[in-house]
Amino acid sequence: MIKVFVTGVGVISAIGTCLDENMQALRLEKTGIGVDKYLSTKLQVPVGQVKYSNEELKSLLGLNTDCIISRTALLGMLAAKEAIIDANLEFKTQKIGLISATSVGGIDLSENFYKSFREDPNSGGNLEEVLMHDCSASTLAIAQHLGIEGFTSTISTACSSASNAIMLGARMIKAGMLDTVLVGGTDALCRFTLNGFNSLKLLDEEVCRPFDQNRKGLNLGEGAGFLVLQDESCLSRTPYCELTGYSNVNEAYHQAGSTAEGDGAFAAMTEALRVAGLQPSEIDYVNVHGTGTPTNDSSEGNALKRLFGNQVPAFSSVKSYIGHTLGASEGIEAVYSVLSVAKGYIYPNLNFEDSMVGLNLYPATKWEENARIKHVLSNSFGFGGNNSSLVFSAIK
Amino acid sequence: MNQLIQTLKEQLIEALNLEDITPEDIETSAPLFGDGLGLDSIDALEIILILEREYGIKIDNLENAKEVFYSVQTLADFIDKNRK
Amino acid sequence: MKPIYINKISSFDYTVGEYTGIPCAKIADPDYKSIISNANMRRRMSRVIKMGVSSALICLGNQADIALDGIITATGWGCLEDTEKFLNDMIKYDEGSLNPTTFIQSTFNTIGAQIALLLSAKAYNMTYVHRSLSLESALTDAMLLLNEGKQNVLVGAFDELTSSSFTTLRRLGIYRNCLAGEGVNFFLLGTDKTDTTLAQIKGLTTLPTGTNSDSVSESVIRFLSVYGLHPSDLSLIALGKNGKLASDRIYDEVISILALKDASVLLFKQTCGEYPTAMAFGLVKTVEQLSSNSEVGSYALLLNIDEAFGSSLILIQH
Repeated sequence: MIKVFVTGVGVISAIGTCLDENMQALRLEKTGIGVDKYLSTKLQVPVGQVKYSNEELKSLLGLNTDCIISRTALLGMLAAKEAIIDANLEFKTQKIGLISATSVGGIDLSENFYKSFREDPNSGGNLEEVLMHDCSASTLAIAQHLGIEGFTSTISTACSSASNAIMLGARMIKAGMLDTVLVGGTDALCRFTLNGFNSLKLLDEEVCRPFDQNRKGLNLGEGAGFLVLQDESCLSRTPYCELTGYSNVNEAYHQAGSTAEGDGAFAAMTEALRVAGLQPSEIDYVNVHGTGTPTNDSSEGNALKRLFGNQVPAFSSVKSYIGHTLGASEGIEAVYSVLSVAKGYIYPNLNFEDSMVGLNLYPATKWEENARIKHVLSNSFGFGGNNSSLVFSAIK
Repeated sequence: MNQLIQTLKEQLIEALNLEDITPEDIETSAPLFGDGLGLDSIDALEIILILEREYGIKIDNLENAKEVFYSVQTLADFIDKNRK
Repeated sequence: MKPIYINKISSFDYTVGEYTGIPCAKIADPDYKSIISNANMRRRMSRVIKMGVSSALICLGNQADIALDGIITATGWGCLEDTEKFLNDMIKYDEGSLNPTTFIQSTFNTIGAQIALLLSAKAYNMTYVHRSLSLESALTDAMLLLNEGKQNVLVGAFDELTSSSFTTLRRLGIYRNCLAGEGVNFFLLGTDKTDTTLAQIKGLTTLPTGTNSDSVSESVIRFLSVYGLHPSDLSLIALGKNGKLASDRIYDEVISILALKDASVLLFKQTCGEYPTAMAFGLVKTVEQLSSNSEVGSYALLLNIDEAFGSSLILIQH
């Protein structure tokens, strides 16, 4: 049985442009959620925005600041590059696969294009702003920037997208189809998704409060997170941990809602544990999806109770630091989960005060390091009942 | 009131794409959600938009949402009381 | 790798459509209402969602109760109509209160999710959005699933042409010398041969960007040799020729380099036009032609060249 190891991580989010900055903010309980600076939206809601303009991101990447490239691609390039460097992979010399995920693609540019296009379809709008509309454009940009010439793919299953990209990479390694693959997701904030979640009345006007009785909704965020997965035979450095479990199931209940009992979440976690060959009692920490919306958190909470009974392990949501980063969320949170296994970190669930009535669930609210953590379960659940879970395990 | 009920039914049919349903098919006092017309939480949001766009009623936090959204009749009563 | 059988397919007929007087290949819309009988679910569906869900239901036919181990969809463009409607509303109402339905339905995995909802299919559900290689990703995943011990996987590909996408892509020069198209096709894949089995997928591979006729020919020969085959063993070769001068020349050169023997050539984009998942229609036509005209055991190869994004090869056996 081929094992899958994590040998590189890269992350950019509202709390930092690299792993160290992210970990530092998590440790200091510094949220990245605040006022929008770059979107020019009418909506007055807090967002988890990356603290650099597109021009600054291009400079960080050594790109010409005049080039037109989607923010989704820029964020992805930065995180993917960090992961590749972290894994000690020499550029352009190894055959590396890339499986990326995004929920919005380059709509951050095409929503600008569309404004002028709609007034004059035959000549309105700058065509360069629509070139990156489709989801694969950011994947192609990452591959070209890093000189990746192997297998590439792009997944889009709403908020579980990155988890599914990670899962496909692991399965391809297990099947012997790839030996090194860069997996993760990237999504930029845009007016489209901000207005979309606003139309669903799911946005909190304050910083979100995952798993709290008085939670009001979610904050949208942006960023990217990538892992380098490798087969044991070609490790480029000492791995952080092993990816032992993964799952994707469909709740088949509602296009945008989940069952009160958390059927989908329960099935996803159960299946990931089965793949990992673990009992629920062996899980030491759960990085919950915990968006802060009334329905997600109660349904996920119920699923936790069903799976773990009265022995729910330490768990927390990082959404009150970085917001819900949609297609990138499990990319970023998988990086955090990997570090949790490797360093024994437990991340504080900010803004938690009161447990949800009837559930008696208390997320971790204090930063911990050197905790005894062997196995971490990480959840992400998306529209269309698309539910995924991953299990990261310490190396035996 | 009867005119309002008729118009409201037409607006519901259009906003919710209730194919093959005529205003006459919608019972004024029957429940809209669940067993009745089979509407769900997304439809509730669409109905809020009808109230806002067609009747100028802005709803942020509605305490008695369940009662107001129960049927066409209860919605019409609410509109009649609150429209501008 | 275990053999993968194509046990059922579904495909719609084409009709000639037009945008601003320019002809294009459009699906001849069937009576979606009679196919998707659940009115409550149908009412929110845009055209592409109806296309996808209908095609899936037709593909399963009287086997709608089959235990599916996965639903895997592929699309380059996704649900454009809903995306555009929501963008329009954003502008019209100046980011005020907007209709949530179009936003929800604009998500790329909507069709896979709607199929799961209709069938109560709680298994694996995935959506690939990898431009001209979306179908190839979906097939790769399906082949993996079937090799992991699963038995039945539904794979579908869809892309819809809208007035705005046509205009935008025409302005980008995509349709110069090339027929604009759209399409939807579904496949029921399994590890077991059934009495409806049409063909077997032997393998598929993708080639990196920037191909020329020498590298494509080399890749074809290397790919075939994995299965102990030579180009002269092929009975049929299906090409994604679309009228674009540069890539058409590569196809022609590849055909002459390969020195095929008696292989017939199938040009499927003459019917379905150019769209990201056109290879799915090519696969349907290849399977149909192979299973009706060739001996059992004969081979067909599909070749699609996309110099800017990546090319692909699929090997089919009758």
